[in-house]
Amino acid sequence: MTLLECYRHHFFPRMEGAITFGENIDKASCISGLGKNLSGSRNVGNCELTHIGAGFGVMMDGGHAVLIAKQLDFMLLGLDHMVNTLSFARSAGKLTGSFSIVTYLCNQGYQGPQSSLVDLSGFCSLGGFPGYLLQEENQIADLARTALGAPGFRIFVLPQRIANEPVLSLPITAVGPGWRMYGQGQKIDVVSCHATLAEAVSRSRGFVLHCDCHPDFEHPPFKLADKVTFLDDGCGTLRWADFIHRKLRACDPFVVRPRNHAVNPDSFP
Amino acid sequence: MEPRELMLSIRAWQRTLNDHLKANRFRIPIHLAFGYEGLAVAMDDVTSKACPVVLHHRNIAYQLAFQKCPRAVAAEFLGESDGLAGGRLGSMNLASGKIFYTTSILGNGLPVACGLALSRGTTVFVVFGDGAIEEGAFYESLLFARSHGLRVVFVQENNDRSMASTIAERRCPVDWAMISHAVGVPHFSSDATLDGCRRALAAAAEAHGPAFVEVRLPAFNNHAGATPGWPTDPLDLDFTPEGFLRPVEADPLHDAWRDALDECQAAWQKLQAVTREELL
Repeated sequence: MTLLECYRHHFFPRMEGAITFGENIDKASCISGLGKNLSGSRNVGNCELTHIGAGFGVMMDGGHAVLIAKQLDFMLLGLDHMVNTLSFARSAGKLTGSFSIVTYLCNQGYQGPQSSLVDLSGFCSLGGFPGYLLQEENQIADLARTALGAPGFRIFVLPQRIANEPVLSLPITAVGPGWRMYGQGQKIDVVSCHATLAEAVSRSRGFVLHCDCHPDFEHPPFKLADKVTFLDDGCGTLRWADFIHRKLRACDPFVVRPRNHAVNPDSFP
Repeated sequence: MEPRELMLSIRAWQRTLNDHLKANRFRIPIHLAFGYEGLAVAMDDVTSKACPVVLHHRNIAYQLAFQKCPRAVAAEFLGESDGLAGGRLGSMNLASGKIFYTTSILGNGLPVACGLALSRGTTVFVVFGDGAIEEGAFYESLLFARSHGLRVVFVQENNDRSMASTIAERRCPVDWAMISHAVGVPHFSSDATLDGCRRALAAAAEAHGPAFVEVRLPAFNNHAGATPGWPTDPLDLDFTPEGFLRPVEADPLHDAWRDALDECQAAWQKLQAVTREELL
């Protein structure tokens, strides 16, 4: 099963009853497969700002909305709602329903200067909402069950570079606020941020701490190795790995500051 | 409360809030809406609990018309726990009761209203100014609502102002009837009077799909902040008992009370004392 098929397998049953919509969601490639065979979806025009504002309208009314979109760059058009409307919803106690965006991260290679937003964490930090890079079968199943219809707003992103590759399937050792632990051993020796889970697993001889772009991240109840490698292939100037590092350092004085980020050479010119 | 009495009360409550504003009692911006009383009361009539309203930053006349409790509004502006929203939302984002959402970002409420109509399948009123209509969200939302048959009533408050700039000073004129017609959305228009607004809003609500209502409103006195305010404050309204009855062109209050001006003046004087006691 590919990563894309895995997403459909676990996410689509959980979307039943929600208002699902997107541009060409049921036409041609069905948004590069993100909407393929999704029943009851609504094909909408090219107005991302309105799609995202409408999603928040549904959410604040207690309903469930899922917007499927081609790529993260396009979501910039609705950033106002992800920051300001979401902030209102929090203050007014209107996080009663759910709103989720599912989209691609264009990290499969250089597509031009306007497809270069290979960074989910920047989005998430602006509005203080969770973002998840779908990379592994058990993670996807877990997120479909616990996050997709949960009250509030979040973004799910598929790294397009690996969307049609066989999906990674790893047992999850432990789950906590904003993180999942993989592998076995005594201590955490690799911290994985953004779309680096596969590389993190290949490097680790202990535990891999995979961190979602989640503002509520809490230090996991595991020890850290003497040397911890931080991986983050987000292309923003501010790295999620730095945020995680600060969080871990606050609890453990032996964490060294990350210096060498592993950058996907294909993702940015 | 009788509609024209409510209009008069909204004028009086705003005048008292203006006194607070002049005394710098609020730490948040307050946008007064002298001249909006007819539209606000008409909106209260036409909507109901099941008919949500999405507003923008200049929402004070609607808050007073819907809640009829100036103390709760003032307490919210002061950040007090007995305010309409517990002092958490302030003035530009104040939403409670049938006010589903209120935004301080121009055009931001239009897509939210579409989502609300999509979720409920019932009529939603969204109010915005002639400045917000210049945002892309307006055109997008009009198209979205029309394409999906959403019962969104787009209510444009055309007061000819975006802060200190008139329409002529900032953009070309637009024929909103033609724009509406071009996308197949019925268009209604009204002046600021209670009767005119009632007719237009009620007709739009009966459209069973998106509708556009253009209300030409006066924006009396200073457009932002207290009055007297900027050197450019036109000081259209005189709040003294003597000056109150002086006719002002397009004042919906004067229109509503035109057959009982003496009664109106007496009620105004009585309200002055009551509202000061209630709010100060």
